[in-house]
Amino acid sequence: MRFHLPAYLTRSTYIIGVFLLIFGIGSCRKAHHPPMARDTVQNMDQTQARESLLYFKPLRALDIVKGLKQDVLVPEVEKALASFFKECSRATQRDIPQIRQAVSLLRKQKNAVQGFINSYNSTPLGDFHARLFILRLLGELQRPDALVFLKSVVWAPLPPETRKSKTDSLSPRDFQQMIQTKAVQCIAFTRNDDGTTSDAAEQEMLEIIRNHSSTYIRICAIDAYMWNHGDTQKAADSLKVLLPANLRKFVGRPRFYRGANRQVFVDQLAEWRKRWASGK
Amino acid sequence: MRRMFAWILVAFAIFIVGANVAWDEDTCASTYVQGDWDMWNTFGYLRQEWYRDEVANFYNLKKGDWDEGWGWVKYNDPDGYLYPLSKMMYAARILWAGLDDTLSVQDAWSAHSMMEGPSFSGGQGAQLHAIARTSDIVELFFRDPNNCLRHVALTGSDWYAGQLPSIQIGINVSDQVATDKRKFHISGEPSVICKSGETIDVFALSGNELIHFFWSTTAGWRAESPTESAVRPQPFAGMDRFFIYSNPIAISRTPDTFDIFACDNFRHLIHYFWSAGSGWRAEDLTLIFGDGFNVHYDPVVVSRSDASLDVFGIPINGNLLHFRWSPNDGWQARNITQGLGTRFRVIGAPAAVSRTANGVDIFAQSYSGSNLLHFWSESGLWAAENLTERLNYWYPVEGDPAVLSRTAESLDVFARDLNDHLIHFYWQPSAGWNSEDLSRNMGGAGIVGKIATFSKDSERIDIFGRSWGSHLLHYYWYHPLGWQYENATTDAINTSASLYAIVGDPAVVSRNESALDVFSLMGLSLTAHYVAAIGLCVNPWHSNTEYSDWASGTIHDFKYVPGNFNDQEHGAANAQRGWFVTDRVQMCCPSFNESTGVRASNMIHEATHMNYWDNYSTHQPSPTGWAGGADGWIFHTIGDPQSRLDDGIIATDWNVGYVIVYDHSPYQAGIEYLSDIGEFPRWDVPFSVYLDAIDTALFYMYNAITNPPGWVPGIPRPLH
Repeated sequence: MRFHLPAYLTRSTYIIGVFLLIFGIGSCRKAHHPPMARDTVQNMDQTQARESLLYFKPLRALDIVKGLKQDVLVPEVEKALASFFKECSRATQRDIPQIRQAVSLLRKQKNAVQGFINSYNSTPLGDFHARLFILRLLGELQRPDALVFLKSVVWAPLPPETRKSKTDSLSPRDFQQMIQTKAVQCIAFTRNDDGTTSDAAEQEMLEIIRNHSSTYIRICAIDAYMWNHGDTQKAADSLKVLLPANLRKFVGRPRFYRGANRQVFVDQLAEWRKRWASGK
Repeated sequence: MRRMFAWILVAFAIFIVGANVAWDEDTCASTYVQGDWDMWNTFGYLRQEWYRDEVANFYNLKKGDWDEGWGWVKYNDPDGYLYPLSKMMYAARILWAGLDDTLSVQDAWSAHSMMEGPSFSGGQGAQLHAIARTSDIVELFFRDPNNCLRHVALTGSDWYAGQLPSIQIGINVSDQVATDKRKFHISGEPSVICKSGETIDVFALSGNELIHFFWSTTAGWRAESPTESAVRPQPFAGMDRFFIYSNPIAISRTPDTFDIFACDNFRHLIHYFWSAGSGWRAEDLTLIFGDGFNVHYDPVVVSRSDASLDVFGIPINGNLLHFRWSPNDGWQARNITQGLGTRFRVIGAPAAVSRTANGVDIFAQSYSGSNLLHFWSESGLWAAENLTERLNYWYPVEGDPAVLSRTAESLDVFARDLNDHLIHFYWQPSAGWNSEDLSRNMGGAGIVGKIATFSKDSERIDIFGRSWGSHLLHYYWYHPLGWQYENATTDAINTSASLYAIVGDPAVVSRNESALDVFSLMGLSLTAHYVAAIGLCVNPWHSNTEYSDWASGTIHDFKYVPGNFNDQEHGAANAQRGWFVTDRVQMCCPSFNESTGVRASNMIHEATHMNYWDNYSTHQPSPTGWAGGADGWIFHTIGDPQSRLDDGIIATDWNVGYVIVYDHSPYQAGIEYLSDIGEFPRWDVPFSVYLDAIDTALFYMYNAITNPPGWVPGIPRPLH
């Protein structure tokens, strides 16, 4: 059946009317958002934040991992991980318990480590942050079978410095050092199947602390080693004997983290400064 | 007619659009952020639409400087600056405002296990007893599987609150003091007293004897049997000694006295007392006052002053008995329930507290059921009430209550209800009694076993308990913040929950005003040690407002604004043009697939240079190259008003040309910001963004700073 325009409306009048109506109402929708003063923009309060929640989709990280059957082949794990990474990247602090749970399930997945490695290797070299993110999650698996791969990342040659003298932007070499640092942290937290500290990882950490070509990575390795040993004096003492004098000041520094006691932090920092600080 | 209707439709539509345009121009403060959660996604894009004068206002620009072709062009800088700030601006704007800088007074917990082996293993049903001997020494006592008294000393120089001690020494006290004739094994829970930093006294049941283990810095551990020393004046039931049957309860009223109370086999209340001049003596209080004063449960002891003792006991019929001693009157006894009526019979272990020199408050579960009873005395007169009844039977209780008195005019009582929820009954003279279900209000888990309470001062209460899942639960109250709840086991920053499940009741000790150490047995082979510090926590180096003002141009004249790049890769600030829309600016930026944290921190960094420019009209760049660093670090503390970003000096420094603006070098300001957003992200900042900020802060700290600041941003394994 054909549709006939009513005789009393010309086609153009009708189209203009409908267009203007839709466009106008559409604009009104934006204009109806409550005014937000500048200081409100800066200090978006909790009420507003809660309202914004309505726009956010629930995190699916755990569902993705739960959907993986045990012992599935590597390509299937890799495919699931691609979605998993996307979900994790948009997680917030309130989602951390879900991420932890998902990671603990992945830890038991036979081909998880190889899936992570393939994902890492298939991520473009220039996409540093995506690679860094994959490494972070791989480290959370704490699997000893990731050790060989992590060692290969840590000891890979760094690209030459390309930073121009007057720019402050980070260079590929800088990003690669950040990636190697992450791999060092992942090695530090490797655990055997029974939850005990991995001797092989421990030896590797000490090797990195002693012999890596990047001082920055050595310093970060010291930090990861100390944290992994509960920041104890015993661990500090055992580490200091391995280190040259210029690196000893990096053992046992106070940590700035949410939940650290302010007075303790300030006292420890003052003590560190008294002993090691130069300049002001 | 119908043609007229069509034209009315068109006119109406035109009216709506026209009116909308007029509103636009009048309400330029409106901001519309499109999209949803995906905008925060690492793989997404951020797009905002602002009104032009709002952008101008936020970035300290002049609305009239807008160029349709270039947006706001850079000005006042003949050299031009190389940094592609247009890429950074919008993600940075979101992040500057993305700090959570609210006050926090509870540190993160970390959980550890003490060394495996008999030195750290409790016997079946044993509990840990912890005391702080000095500000950096904690002493633990427990009965091991062989019924030996075990002592673990935890200490170390610089044992900071929330951290582990460097030294753990385990001693088998029974073995150390054993003689050929006696092994000094114990058969119950010890009672520990530390009168000074130089001595420890432990009293325990051994068979049917009271054993006193005592330690001093000079002589080490020794032991004696007060039961052997004190002889009954008249034999009772064929016994010439004051044998005991229950765990002893010990207190020390003065440096030179001990008072120990326990029940014997005949449910008599036995009192051992020691003074420096006369040694050990004992008396049978039930024998003095008659058979109506038998005691069937462990007594409760309160000392209101050096010269008073109040002991409360419960016989099998549930009456509450009061034994009272003073130097002038000696011992007196009263059956409190008898004077108040049988509805005030009690069961279990009462909780007692003395708010004033003349008064005692007792709380106990009623004999008949799930009511919480309150007894109080002023100058020897006793009164009582049924608190559960008074509060409309909202919270029937189960198990023994715990009580705290933070001030002379406050009472806080904690008990479990029938669902194992933690119920808080609280009293003040002005408001009377009230109650609340903390587990329900805080979304916390229920408690099984004993409730452990601790109050550092009148502003803070800490409550610990064990959950059905063997987790350590922590409810705490701080006056400015109200009640908070946390599961210390699952929230512990260093481990997974299952490793440190506890089986015993928690033992809480605070060795200084910031330290909170909680111990519990983890089974027969390990002891769990949970550590945290209390008091003000680390908060951001600078506030939300400081960063936002610093970088947005409120403080300085912002000189770099988006050019008119028209692609999402570079970011853009484009006029939103249309028939009726002429005053909007649509701003895009590559959201978070680049280093968002770096973009935001670079804005902070450059803003520091700009402030220098405003004062000296010249650009003083940081030294170039990162070999050995580029900027100096000027130390400041957290929360120091003089370390604000708008306070201090603006100068070059150290004769080497560093830019110092308000006591910050440009890289320092950027690093502090990265560390802050990494550790204190507002609830909606994504995981991928705030972790990236920490990694970048670490990198800059060691590569762009000549004198590393001495602290570490974040913890290496944030998901733990």
